[in-house]
Amino acid sequence: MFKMKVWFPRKFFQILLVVLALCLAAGTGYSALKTFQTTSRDAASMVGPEMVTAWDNRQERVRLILPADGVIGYLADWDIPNYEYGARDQEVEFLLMQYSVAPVILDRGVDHEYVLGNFNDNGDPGKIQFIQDYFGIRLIKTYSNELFLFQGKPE
Amino acid sequence: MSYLVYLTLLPPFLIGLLFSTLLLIQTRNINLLLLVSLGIPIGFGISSCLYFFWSYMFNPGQTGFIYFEFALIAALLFLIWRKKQFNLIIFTDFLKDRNKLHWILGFTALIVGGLGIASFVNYTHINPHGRYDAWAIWNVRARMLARAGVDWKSVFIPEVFHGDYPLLIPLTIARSWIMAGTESMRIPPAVAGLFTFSSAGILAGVLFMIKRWNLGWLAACVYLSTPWVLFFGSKQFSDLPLTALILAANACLFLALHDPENKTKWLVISAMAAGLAGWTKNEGQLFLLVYLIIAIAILVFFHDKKNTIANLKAIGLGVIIPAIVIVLFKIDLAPPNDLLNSDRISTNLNNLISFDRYGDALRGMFRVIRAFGGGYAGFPLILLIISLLSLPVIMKIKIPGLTLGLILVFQLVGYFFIYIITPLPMLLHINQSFDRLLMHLYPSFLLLVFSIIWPIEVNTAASFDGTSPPAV
Repeated sequence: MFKMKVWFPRKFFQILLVVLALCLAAGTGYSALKTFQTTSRDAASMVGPEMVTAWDNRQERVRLILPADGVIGYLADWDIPNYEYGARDQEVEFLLMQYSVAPVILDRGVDHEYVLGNFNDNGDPGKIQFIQDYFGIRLIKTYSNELFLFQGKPE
Repeated sequence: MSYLVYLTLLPPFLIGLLFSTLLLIQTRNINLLLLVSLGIPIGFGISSCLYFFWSYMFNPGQTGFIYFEFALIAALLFLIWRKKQFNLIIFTDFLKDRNKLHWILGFTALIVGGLGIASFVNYTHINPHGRYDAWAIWNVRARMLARAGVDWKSVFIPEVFHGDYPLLIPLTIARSWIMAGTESMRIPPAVAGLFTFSSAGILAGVLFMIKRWNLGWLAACVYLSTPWVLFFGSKQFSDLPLTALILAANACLFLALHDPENKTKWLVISAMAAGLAGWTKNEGQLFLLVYLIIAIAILVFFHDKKNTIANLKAIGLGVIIPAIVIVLFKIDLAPPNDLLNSDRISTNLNNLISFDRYGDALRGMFRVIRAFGGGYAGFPLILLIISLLSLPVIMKIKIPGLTLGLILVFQLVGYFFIYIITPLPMLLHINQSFDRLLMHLYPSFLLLVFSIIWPIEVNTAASFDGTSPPAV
């Protein structure tokens, strides 16, 4: 269908092909070795469990008293009006929490029988009371200074 | 956690290996590397489809699925035994002594593969749960399926992040966890690794089939030494499994067009891989569409028109089971897609006719292409390009190469239009995903390149006679 001809001396062509093949093979070997060295250095510098494992281990006790499945509410700092938070951190924590409590499904808001609260401890002693008053929910259990279970407001 | 959990991955692999062997043994021109490498994506795909039916009828936790798999393996073994055509020489032909260059390149491929596996293990040590999408989408879905029992269908609701994504990988992982009786974190990286490295075997195996012995090893070296392959593979996303299935579909279609005597056998496996690609990721459904349009057009209008019906039947036979699974899942379980749904159709259409987005999308995509491969890939890729430019080639691109090229181009065009119509901020969407989408096509692109350049074998043979290489 498509034909293209370029002429080189045949012997030169033969040698060139072999040299290029060997150079390419050597290049790939170098690349593979560099990748291995970099990843080995990174793996060796790991101290303690990485983020997801550490998070997952912390949430084990939360899973124990949640319903076996179904949907529960989820509140975090991004739901509190006029409150400073890192949007990316909040999203990552929401998805990590979902990963930990599966197959229970988290739905942002308070329109469910149970609401899981995950708040940054900023030292404000009135924060949890404000959240209860503002959203009209009731604290059932405190897991830690950052993690709480509330009675929600099912629709 | 015991290493014995890896045994739960054996039945799907055996199903794929035996299914491929049963179909391809009669070609009398198949190598073991290709069979084993095809066995991984095909086997895990078949097992996932069957497990979906099983879950749909009962639930994922219902005992007995392992016996069903064993029965299937026994049946496949019996059917292969009945054919009485097993010949080890055919399977291991690629290991035959040829010349020093062949051995040097083969040895280099082994070293590069070994370093690749070691790097993959290092990445997995750093992120045992995978990266963001792994625990936000794929592994969390596996947990939901494995833990929800009889209520497993309740997890497919709009509140779930990307709840409409297909289930090949989550079901594969959930199946292993349920069989092992523990949610071993050895399983997700093992599945990711099997798919990642199977692509290298398919790539080399197909090039061996068309007698590009040296280029086969070289192609495997280039693929496995690309840092992005190992990095994205170890992330435990569904992108590298999709890559393997797209390559399997393209490679078997390529061989079907190359091997007229055994066309229908290759077409069945090719179409099945294309269907399974659609069961892996939504982008795989775009691939399935592109694949069907191009493969059917080529078979109806340009190639072997005498046997069009038989060829189309083979495609239909291959694609039917994955297609039923995808339709059943999308219609009965999956919530609406976040990019394409009836609520967003006007946004999609407005974006489609905003022509200033086209230039922005191209520029954004080109920026990602320029950085393709990762830190150290520049060196081999530059050498590859030099070698391509330097080659005094007599290229004869025929139907198989042209078909593969068309599929790659149309798939890229499809990705381009997804970015055009996306309701998300376009450049952010491109920056967050286009590198992974390029990985879907990377080994298929390598297959195309290494199959159309002049084979080194012809020119390094002692009795070089200047004859043209076999055209593809």
